Amino acid sequence: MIQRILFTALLMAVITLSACHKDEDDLFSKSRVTLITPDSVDITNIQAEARLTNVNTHQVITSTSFNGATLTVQTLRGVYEISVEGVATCGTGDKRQFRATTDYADLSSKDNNELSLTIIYLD
Amino acid sequence: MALSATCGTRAEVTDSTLAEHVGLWRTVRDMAADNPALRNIIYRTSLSQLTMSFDDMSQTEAFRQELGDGLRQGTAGVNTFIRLSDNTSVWGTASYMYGRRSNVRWNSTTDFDILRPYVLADTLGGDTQGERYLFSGGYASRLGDMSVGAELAFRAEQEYRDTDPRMRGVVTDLTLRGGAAYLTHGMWIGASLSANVYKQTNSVDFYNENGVIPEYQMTGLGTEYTRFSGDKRSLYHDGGGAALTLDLTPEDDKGLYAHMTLDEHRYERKLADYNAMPLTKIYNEHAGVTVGWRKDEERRLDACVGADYTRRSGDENVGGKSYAGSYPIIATLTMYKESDVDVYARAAYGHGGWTMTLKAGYVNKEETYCYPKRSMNTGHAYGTFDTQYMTSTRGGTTLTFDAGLSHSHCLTNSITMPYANMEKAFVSMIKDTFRFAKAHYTTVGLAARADFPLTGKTYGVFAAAKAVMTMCSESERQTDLSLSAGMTF
Repeated sequence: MIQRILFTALLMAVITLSACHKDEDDLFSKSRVTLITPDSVDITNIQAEARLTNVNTHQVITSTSFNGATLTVQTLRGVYEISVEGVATCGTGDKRQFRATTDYADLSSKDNNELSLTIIYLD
Repeated sequence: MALSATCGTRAEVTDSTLAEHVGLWRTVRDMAADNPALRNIIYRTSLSQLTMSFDDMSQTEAFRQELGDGLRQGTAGVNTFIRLSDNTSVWGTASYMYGRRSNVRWNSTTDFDILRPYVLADTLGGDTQGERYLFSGGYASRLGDMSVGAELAFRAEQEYRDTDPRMRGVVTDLTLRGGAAYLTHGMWIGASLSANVYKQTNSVDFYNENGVIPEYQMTGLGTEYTRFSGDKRSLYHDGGGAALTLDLTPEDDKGLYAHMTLDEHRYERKLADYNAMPLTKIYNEHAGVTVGWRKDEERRLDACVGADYTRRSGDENVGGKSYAGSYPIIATLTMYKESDVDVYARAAYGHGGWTMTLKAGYVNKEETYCYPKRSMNTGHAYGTFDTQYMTSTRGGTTLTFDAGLSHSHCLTNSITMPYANMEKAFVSMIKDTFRFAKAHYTTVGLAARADFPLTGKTYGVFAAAKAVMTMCSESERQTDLSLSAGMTF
């Protein structure tokens, strides 16, 4: 009888413990933002500053680390307004000022987030 | 002190009854009374009390801004434990409280201690008024070597302010508890399970359109959910949880005992404006264990050690793009974490009308907000000494005198805050919170109670007074005064 009671009590404790909340600690994810031209001309180099503003917390991250036309940045998972402004060097050798923006980008995935932004020439 | 069983519903209040229900030794024995089945075993005498009381707490400066710097409340209630027979008992409570809390800051939500840090807050605050109704009832019966019991408790509460910002919180909290215990080899082995359902509707209004200020959805350590702060002032808090207790208690109050408790409660904050969008969720998890030895004879002895661990984690829901007035949840991140550890040892001694308890321990609290990193940690060593003397006069009046002394000393403290990126009002709030979190506290208290039996009657009257002063190393203090009177039967 006592063994049955102790077993039942242990089972109740295990069930209670297993209901404990599991923290979601994957807070950050890597995002790749690729700039594309409206006339499908290749971009060989970007000199620009990207501002990523978290829509929920209003925290701002800035980055200039473009590799070709792609920016790789680690961010807190969430949704962002993204604004990129600078100079693009096209495959033809032309350097042109541009801006690329979006007011909603979903960068909440735990895996790599991929995003493409179409640039607008300012000149 | 011998404890006598009293049967029937008309109890004669004796010294033994008061010692069992009101005496300081009760705190040594009543840990297992969380289990309704064991309450039937622990309390052998009946006592009912009809009480009117008035409590006044005031602080020279709020030790915790969210709870204000003063609380005045009046309570009327009845509390009863009745042994229907040697094997069966019933108990119940009904009370009404009206109170005023003064200078509440950074908190427009009721039940701050349960729901923190996920409360609505503003920089102005003010005084609040509150009412609370409490009802509970339980029944337990012994069947041979088994005891079973059940209990139901209900709390309805509202808190409001009648000047801008006009906060209002309406709370309902229903708890159901069931327990069983089995007697074997001179030991009662008990287990109980309880569950509660909780709901709060919370809102802030402004009658003066020119005086509208932002209401912040606080998310811990001075952070707020910026996207939904400002003019989103209607919330729901939904939740509940379960608790398991396991007890080992000696039948004749002589020998080893043990008490373990595990509980988890979850409370979700939802925005009423956006189709009840869940904004955040707090998980309160607690595990506690106490192991000791006691002997309840002419000389009463008790020694125990224990530990309590509380873990609180807060999830923030990431809202996506709004469609038709509602926001989908696209991710959930655990941003807030709190961990509290309390380890202690306690000894108690009683002889005749004297009872003394001595407790020493260490409490460590760590609070963290994950990104951008913020943290607040403190470690306090504490010691508490309480003594009680209960005596009877020739006329049958029972006098009870209590004295207590405690000290909590901060041994370690640390804080990490991005002050350069914080608004001035939030910096001031955090600095004030940390100032009192890392302080040392010394408390001195005195209490007295007189129970007068009425000649030829099975009931009596009582009057009690209590005064406690807490001195804080930040040159602030708190005084608590309490007066109560009523009938016992």
